Amino acid sequence: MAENKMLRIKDLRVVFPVGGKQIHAVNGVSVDLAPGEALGVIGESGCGKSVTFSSVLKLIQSPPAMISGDIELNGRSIMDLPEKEMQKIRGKEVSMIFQEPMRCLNPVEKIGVQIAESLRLHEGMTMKQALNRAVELLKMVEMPDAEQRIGCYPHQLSGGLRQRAMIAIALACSPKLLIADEPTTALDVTIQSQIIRLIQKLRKETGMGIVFISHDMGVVASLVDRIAVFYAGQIVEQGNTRDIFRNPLHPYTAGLIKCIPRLDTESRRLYTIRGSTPNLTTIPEGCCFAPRCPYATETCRTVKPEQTAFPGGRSCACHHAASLN
Amino acid sequence: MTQSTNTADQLLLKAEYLNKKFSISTGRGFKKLSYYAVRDLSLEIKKGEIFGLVGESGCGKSTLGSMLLGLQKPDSGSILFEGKDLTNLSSSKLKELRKDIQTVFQDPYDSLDPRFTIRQIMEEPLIIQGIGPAEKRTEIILSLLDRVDIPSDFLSRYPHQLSGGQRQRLCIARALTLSPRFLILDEAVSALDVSVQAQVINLLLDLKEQLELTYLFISHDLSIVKFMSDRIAVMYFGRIVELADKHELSRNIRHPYTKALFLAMPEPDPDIPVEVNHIEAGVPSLINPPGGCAFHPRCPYATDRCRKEAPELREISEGHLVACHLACEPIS
Repeated sequence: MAENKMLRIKDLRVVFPVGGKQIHAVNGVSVDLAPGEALGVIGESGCGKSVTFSSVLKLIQSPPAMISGDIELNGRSIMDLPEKEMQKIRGKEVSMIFQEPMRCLNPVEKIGVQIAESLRLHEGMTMKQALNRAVELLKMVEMPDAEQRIGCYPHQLSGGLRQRAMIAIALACSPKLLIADEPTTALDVTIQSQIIRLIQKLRKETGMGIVFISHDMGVVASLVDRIAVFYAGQIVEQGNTRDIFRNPLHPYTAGLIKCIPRLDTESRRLYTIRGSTPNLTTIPEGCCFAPRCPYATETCRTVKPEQTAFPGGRSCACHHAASLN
Repeated sequence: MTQSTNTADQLLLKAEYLNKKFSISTGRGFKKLSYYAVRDLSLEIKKGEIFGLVGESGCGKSTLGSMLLGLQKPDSGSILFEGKDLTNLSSSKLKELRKDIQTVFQDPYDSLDPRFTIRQIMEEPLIIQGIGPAEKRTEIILSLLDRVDIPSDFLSRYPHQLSGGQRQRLCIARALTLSPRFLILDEAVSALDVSVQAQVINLLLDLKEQLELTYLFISHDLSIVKFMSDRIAVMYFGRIVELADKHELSRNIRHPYTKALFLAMPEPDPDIPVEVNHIEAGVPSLINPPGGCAFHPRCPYATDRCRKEAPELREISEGHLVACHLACEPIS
């Protein structure tokens, strides 16, 4: 491809029919990722961040979900790929790690065998070769006593070690893209900081691209190059990590940053974004954030703001982005 | 609001030498193993303060909370709430005391009965405590819903019809129905989205002022605990390892574990790198606890003395308590 993008999502829309209503979970998302780039995806629950990136692996069953738009991996559209072809991509080209390692690991299979599975499938290794490689992978994710631990079942490992095992599975076939969906949310802070450091280290060593999905701005801040802020199934702002934190263009981004208590917050009140996240059964006419936005005007309520480009490779969907700044 | 008589130093709750042991069956020859969830723990909570409690999962914070609520009895030790010992009250006396001590849990989805309407949820504690008649109950319910910003026409709705933030506000309103004086907030804002979390935190702070409440604020999130609390206790392995005023704690951390917790918190700022943490992750096995100081296997400063002798929690300066042999000098 001319611009050399590893992942390109174009105008993705995902609609779930639920009890006669339609939930517009993803509502026109376009985002792309260069090889080796780390993208942070920020947003509150139900904003469509997980659905968007689960679609990259075609993990959203359709039907019932109605998916439109286009997703390209290394220049090839995956929208019409049959399941058999997708299996070749999952784990090999793109891997995903999830929030709850206990629910995503097979409880009746040893860790080593679970890591070996994709190696045997994609790389055609024998069980013995695959298990040897599994030990190397566990060492890479800094699992202590890796030789012994390949014989453990998931319940015999602590939360942090389970998450390491899941990362080892995801990295088994050296994917070019790793999608991490809230990988540290269920972990204690001390373990969280180790997993973050581990992902940083692996990125440096392997040069893979990373999509890091989180609702925690603190976790994302130190880890990624670029951030996409999701709200109500749309991306409201994209830009470099430093720009987003230092100089947010969208009122929602600014609010998100302001309402986190920091270790040095001294005041006795937190900034709040009034109201709550919108109901996704109807697409609002104007800007989806208008009902909660302190700067909303008549235009915001009636005209949907388009993604507008700003200097420094940024974009923002807000009528007032230029003037607020 | 009930206004109690002035007691010395306005102490609301005093717990002394609490111990709580749990047993687990190993399945091998029916041998039982036991471990301490809370061990020799003492603390005092003053009237009108927000007392923060932090620690990693499994350190005993919630067990402590449920003992202070009277939901679990400690194996030994005493809990004095305004001079009355919770640990040896009869169940009818305890029921009486429950009016004063209420709680809000982490998960509003799990702590509301899905088949109760909002009115039933709010009314249940009032009926149990024999507060009536019905009109008076309705009056109490409506005024509380108004306080937590839930519209009064929600009375006949069910929990699933509320958003996550509304549900947690409902839990807070329910905890307030009996005009308690002490609220135990066990990870009460941890499951909420950031924008909603900020709203609920502000609500809790407002309610505390308006209703003259005292909070025990339990959380694993140090930045929120530090924002909310007046005094903070750091818990490790069933014991308090450091306790201080929040300003003192940010200036003058003395316990290596507290230091490590602070370092591990990612700051929402791209220019502050995640510090290289100098401690091992993960709480060691509760069943085979390390000898000496429970923190020594993870502590970068551990000496022979730490491996042999468990440190006492002692006061190193006014109101600053630390359980560490090396607490005499600040950590570099």
